[in-house]
Amino acid sequence: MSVLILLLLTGAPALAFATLVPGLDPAARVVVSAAASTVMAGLVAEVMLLTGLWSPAGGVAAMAGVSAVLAGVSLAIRRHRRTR
Amino acid sequence: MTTVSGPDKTGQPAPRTADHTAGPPTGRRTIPRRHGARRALARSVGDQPVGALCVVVLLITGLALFWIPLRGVRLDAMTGYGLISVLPVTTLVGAGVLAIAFVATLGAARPRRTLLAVQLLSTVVSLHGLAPVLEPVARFPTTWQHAGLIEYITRTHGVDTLLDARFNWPAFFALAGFVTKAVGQDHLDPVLRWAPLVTNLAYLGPLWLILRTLRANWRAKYFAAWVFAVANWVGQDYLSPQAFGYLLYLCWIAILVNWFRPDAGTARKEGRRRTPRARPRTGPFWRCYDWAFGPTEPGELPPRPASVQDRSVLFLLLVAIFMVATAAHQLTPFLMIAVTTGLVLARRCTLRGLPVLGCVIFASWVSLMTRAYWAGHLDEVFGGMGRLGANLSTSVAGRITQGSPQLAGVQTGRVALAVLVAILALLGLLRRHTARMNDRVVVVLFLAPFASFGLQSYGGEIALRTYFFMLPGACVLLAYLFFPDPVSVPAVRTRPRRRRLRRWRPAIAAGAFALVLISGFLLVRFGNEKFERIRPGDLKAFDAMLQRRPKGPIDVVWLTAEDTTGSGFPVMPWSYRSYERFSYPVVSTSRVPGTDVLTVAAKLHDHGADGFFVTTRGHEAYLELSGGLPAGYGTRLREALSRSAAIAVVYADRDAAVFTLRSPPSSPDPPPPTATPVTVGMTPWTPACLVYLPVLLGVLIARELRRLRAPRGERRPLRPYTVLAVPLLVGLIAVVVERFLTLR
Repeated sequence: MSVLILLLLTGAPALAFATLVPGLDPAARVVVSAAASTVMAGLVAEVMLLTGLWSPAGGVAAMAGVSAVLAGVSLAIRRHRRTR
Repeated sequence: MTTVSGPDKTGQPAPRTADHTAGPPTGRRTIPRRHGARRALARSVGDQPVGALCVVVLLITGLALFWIPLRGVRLDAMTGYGLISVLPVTTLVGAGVLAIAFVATLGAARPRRTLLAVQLLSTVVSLHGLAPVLEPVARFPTTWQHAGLIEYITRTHGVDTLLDARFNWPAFFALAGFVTKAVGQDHLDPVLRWAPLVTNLAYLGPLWLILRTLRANWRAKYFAAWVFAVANWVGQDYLSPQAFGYLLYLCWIAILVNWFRPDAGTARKEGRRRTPRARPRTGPFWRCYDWAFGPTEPGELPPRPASVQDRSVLFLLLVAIFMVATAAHQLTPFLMIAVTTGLVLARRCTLRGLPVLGCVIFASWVSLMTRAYWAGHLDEVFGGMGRLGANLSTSVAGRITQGSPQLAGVQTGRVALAVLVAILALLGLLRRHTARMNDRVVVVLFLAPFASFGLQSYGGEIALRTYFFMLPGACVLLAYLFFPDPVSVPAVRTRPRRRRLRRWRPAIAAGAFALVLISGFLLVRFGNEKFERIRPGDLKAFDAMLQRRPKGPIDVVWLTAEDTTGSGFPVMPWSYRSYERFSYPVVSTSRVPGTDVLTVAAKLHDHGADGFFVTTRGHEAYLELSGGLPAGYGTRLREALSRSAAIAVVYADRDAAVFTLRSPPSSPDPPPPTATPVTVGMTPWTPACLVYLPVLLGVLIARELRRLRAPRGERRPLRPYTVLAVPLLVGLIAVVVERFLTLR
């Protein structure tokens, strides 16, 4: 279970971010996406702490939500390009 | 015949990359080879399968020599020289063999990238994994204080800004607490233990992104990566905000130099060029003049192509990285701003508004979120600013102890190694300049961290931090000293023996330096291990106190042989859990065990049932090495305390001991202290700032996004944003100053 959560925490935001930068070469995409997922987790943790809404489970949900939003934005950009 | 056949004979593709940089396809050059060059390449050692096999054998031998004898290491026999005093000779030889094998691979005619990468990773794992493998629990006392801060956050779901200054920059602790709790890892021990190795491996990713943008041959790039890993003896890689901040710093630079450099047309050839018809200038003066100001080539490859969308997303990532770095560590964002300003001034960064944006985020965080840190003692906090000489002397000379000669030897070794790296880096810069390369990016990376010397009040640690932050630039310049050519020099047929020797000459010099560096690493990296090592008994001692007093404050009385009037803490994993319950009253040693027992008993009497006297072998070693107490003093003191009728033993093993009064005076428990969360602290102008700030950030971000879409050099589209930003910026500065003046 913890492996699955770790994958969700690190992999999902990284994958979502990677779809936003399609022009980068694969190796750079891996490094930059890993950095992005770490930074996102940092921001979520910081916001939870400062707003008094500390909840690890809620944080995982927030990360999943942010990843979904990023993936959605990426999808919308692609659709927009295709229709243009 | 078949074993020595070259690539052309076996039908393999020719070693095309021999003349290329290790970088990306863009900017690759092809140098026409002379007749027979291919055969000469085939004859070189590293290019033959046999040569590669030799290196593999050397690597395996090195790893075996390094790791296998470590089974019999007795850490308790360690002297004041630290870990190196108990390492088997074969391990040291193994480290040397690893260095030689790596440099031998650099001497080959073409890059064997897989082999080089495996060697680099093996070196990092061997050097930075040494302590985690040998020691059963995570080393370094501060690691455990960070564990205590993380535990505090996960237990109370908040911070107490008056409890510890680090709670004013809590992002890293929050991140670590969030991730470990989310994945159900309740015990931080394995995370703490392996963090240094993981951190050092993680640094290689962004470092590789930085190196690939340079106009350098593959040898310089791989050697720079190796030097970076081995010259990083600073020990700022444990589970800490600074290690995390450094990773963000490297990612920040990597993104800037990969995707936000001006294109080749802007970064034109520097220096004055004379028309061919101009009168030739001769003489020593003009030679010097031409050397200094003559035409040069940019030291970086053309920037990588990226769409506006890619670059916009990467810019937003930069902003997010900066925000997290600002909330995690006080020094890192300052260095990010310094490097970015340097790159902008050197015309190697197109995001000209980024330093301003960084300053706005940094100043707002310090002003609004860290009020508990600076309010009331503003002069102390900013007192170190501008005191360049004082900062330098306290952080270099002041760090060499007057205690044991062994400890002083290790500390001198640190200073010598840092000076050696800096001097060789400067020589490398001169050599590249002589080769007409203009390495502006690397020079900025090397020099910008020195800005922290004059501007940051950071106690005696600033020289160490400056060295740490200049490493990415220094390692590249150092590699240029040995391998300055922008493309690798092709081997040619004529006079093959002398040619071959010529190609090996830099590799031999680099090998000699590599041996010095790796020996220096093994001496200084774990040079304080006698007292920086944490023994399992140290943790049990703190557990025993918590078990004895499940509630209420705990006053840990400890012995010092130094002046601790400013601040001081014992060298042990203090407060590794229940952080807020501990306090640390100190007693100065009289250097006579009998007298010290009386002093300790009197101090324990002052603190009643809360008082415990704690001593650990690590702390005793520190008292001997740094405080100059005689050898075995700690053992004699423990015996004297055990014999005392007034004192009872709470916990005792070989590693640590805890004592308390047999019949302490009863004292009422004080009410539990209330935590002070992060509060902005209102002043008359602060509400205005809370309105300005989001708008200003939005305008500055939008301005840079607009700049990315504007044609090169076009400033007109930015004007509306500038007009909006300037008054908001002035307003913000006014509020920040007003807050400092009101709340000081």
